[in-house]
Amino acid sequence: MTRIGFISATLVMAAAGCERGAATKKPSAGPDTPVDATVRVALRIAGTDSGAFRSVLVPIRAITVTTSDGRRLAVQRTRSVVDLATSDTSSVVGYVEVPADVGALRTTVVLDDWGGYETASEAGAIDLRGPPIAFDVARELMVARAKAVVTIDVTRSLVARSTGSLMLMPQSGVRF
Amino acid sequence: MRTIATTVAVFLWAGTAGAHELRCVDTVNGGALVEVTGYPTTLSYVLVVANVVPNADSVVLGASDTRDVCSPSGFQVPFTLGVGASEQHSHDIVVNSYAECRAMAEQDGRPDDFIDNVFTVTWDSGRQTCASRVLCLPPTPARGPTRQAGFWQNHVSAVQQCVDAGAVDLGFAQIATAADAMGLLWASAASFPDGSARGGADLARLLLARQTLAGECNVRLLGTAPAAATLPGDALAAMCGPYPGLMDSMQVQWAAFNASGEALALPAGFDPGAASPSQSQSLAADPTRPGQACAP
Repeated sequence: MTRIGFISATLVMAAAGCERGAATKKPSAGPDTPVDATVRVALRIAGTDSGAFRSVLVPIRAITVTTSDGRRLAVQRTRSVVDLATSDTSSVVGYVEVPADVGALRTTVVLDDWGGYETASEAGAIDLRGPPIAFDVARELMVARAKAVVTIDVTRSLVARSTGSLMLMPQSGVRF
Repeated sequence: MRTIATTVAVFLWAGTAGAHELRCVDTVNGGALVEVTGYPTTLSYVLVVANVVPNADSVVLGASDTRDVCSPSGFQVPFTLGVGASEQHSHDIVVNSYAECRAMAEQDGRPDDFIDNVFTVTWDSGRQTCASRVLCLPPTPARGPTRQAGFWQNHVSAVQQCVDAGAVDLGFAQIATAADAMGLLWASAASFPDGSARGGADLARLLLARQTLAGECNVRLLGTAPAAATLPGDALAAMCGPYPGLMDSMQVQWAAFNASGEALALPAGFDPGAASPSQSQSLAADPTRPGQACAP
């Protein structure tokens, strides 16, 4: 049995840049946003605290948003790969139209099997296989707050294997 | 399928001033990852939740892990942690065999070799999740060196050498160039290049195609063949069929083969070149299209 040390990565998911739905104008999210409006929420994934990594490429297999009564909301994907090492400013990975008549929402992010990393002196594969990253949030926060941030500690999340590749073990947080 | 989840519906809008904040730690045998090669073995889990606010208490509203390694005597929430305080629970699990390890790994519904444990702590304005993993490795010696799909996905030179030996026949597509190969390995799982959705059988076909490509490159360049000589043909037939379940089964078999010899050194004389994820991704040209059919 061999125990392997740490490296790390960061994942930030933010629901930000809220807009009204197509049937209305596009006000900024905030206290003046009508509570009965459908709101277009941008889903963001980004990395922070990337340390020595110049590149941490993470393909995203699926993003789902479901309501508390089981409805699956359509997610308009905007990109399939994010670079966690260069994403101090979060990257939009999709949009979801959040209707007015929902309570809580569950957002789930499924990563693809493999990504890649680069530092100044080495590069290789990242094994991304693992449990989905998911969180439940009240509609009010998804809509009215400018952001919902899930953080994964960069220095703790990429773990080296004995074979030389890395495994992503998301050490994550969510803040609103 | 278990997910890392926490309910934040109770989070307060104005939860930042004087905010509580916690940090979690989830280790097994002292680290985040353990590779098990010998059985029986003991897995010692330690879960810690700590208050990281330098000058105030934090209230722990939730503290649970997906494997319930510390139940039933685990964290009794809610509770308060003073400045600099933490609470820790530990638990040992004995794994008697590789088969038992695999059975534990499959309890999360994913056909992999990982016993994952995800520990989530919540407070009034946020949550933190941390994870540990036990990798179940077979005690039997490998048939020869292999590399997993992620290796090929990040080595342009190696993939070029693989296709230089001839196009890889996937039935519905021929992988004839490094751009094709990288396109397959880096392809969007959510959609085809034309933007149409990729799901169901199309997604299963992509995932099997990736493992098949990696497997073929292992055979061609590393000289290691699967123990089941029918695997390549069976996988090809599955990719040409409509059944996602069958494709998933073939994918698992190819993946197990591709992982089987990764601890062994590459053959002398084979130079895979340097890993180059950015170059690999930029080269990628997804060769898949909706409705691709196998030649009769």
